[in-house]
Amino acid sequence: MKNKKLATFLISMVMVTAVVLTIGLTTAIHPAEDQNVSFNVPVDVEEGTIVYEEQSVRFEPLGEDAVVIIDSNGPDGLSTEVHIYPGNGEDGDIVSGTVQVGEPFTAEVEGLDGRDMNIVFEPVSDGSLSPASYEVGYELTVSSSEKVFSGAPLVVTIVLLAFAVFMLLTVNMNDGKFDERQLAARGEAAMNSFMVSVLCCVAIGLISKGVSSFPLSVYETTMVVAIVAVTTFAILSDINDAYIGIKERRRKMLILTWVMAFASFTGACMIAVGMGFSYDMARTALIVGVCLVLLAIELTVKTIIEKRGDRDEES
Amino acid sequence: MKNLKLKAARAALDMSQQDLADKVGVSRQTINSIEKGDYNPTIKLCIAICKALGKTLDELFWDEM
Repeated sequence: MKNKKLATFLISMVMVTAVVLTIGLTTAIHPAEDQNVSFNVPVDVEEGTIVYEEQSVRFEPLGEDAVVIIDSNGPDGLSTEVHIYPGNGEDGDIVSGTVQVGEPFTAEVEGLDGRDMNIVFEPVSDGSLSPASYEVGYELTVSSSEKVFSGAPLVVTIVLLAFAVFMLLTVNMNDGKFDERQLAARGEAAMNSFMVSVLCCVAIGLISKGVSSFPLSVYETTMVVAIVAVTTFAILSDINDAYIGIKERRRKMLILTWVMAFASFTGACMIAVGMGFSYDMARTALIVGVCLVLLAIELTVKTIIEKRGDRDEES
Repeated sequence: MKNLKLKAARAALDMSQQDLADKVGVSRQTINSIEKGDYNPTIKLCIAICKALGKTLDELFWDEM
């Protein structure tokens, strides 16, 4: 029997570790964030020529390759020659082109080899502008192929794995906490809640494929499915008198559930006030609160029935 | 089918469902389910109940048709 429990624990732990480690490591090593730069260049158009101060923008090492998107705004008839080169320009430019006003220019820069990237801007007049002072605005977005490492996802991964060990040990080492009828009822409830979570996941997955932009975040979706499955399990177990252990106190569990429900609603309100109700953590806390209230109502009703049952031994 | 023999044996000893449940290490609802015939206990639990009530398996759980 002990070997069976150990095997159950180990198999569950391997599954959790595989999923959590894969997601944790993938998240820890991720592409660098896009860099955005914007600036204006004053240009004086004189008879037959234009006068400007040459502008160049330098980016820190970006890895092997980068994608540069340049948007410009200013008077029609004033375009910009762009030269992109790595390092100090000893190898010459690797990409050059003309940026027209109002037409985003995209350049795929290859061969940076971990060096800095410099972009030089040279405004050019097509001769249609009358002599005057103008201003050209530029907006740059640079995406790099460089991978950066963040420690936070790794710390979360380790904490989650420690929590998984604790939870799986608690679930598997419950000798004497529940009697044989309760264990059978809990098994049935677990099977039902498992099916509920699978169906929810499949439904959400299929619905998300059918729309161009799914309104729920990954955090919200996974948390909602998890809390719905846990609530289903708790309610089904309690209906069959298998949620509270033999030596556990019902009143304690009831008070704890109401307190947690209240805390979830308070948390949802505080997050909504601070960051808006469209923030996924606020909506998730609200759904957790609703599920806990449903569980608390069920526990309350069952407690009343229990009291009557204890009195006349019929329920 | 209700197990009236179990209920009678328990009542004869002036035990409540909770008393019997505590003695055999199960919940009161489990004893109630057995008496109502909603749950078929394992042989292990049957023996524990028999010992707690001072009866044999035949006396409590054998059903003569």
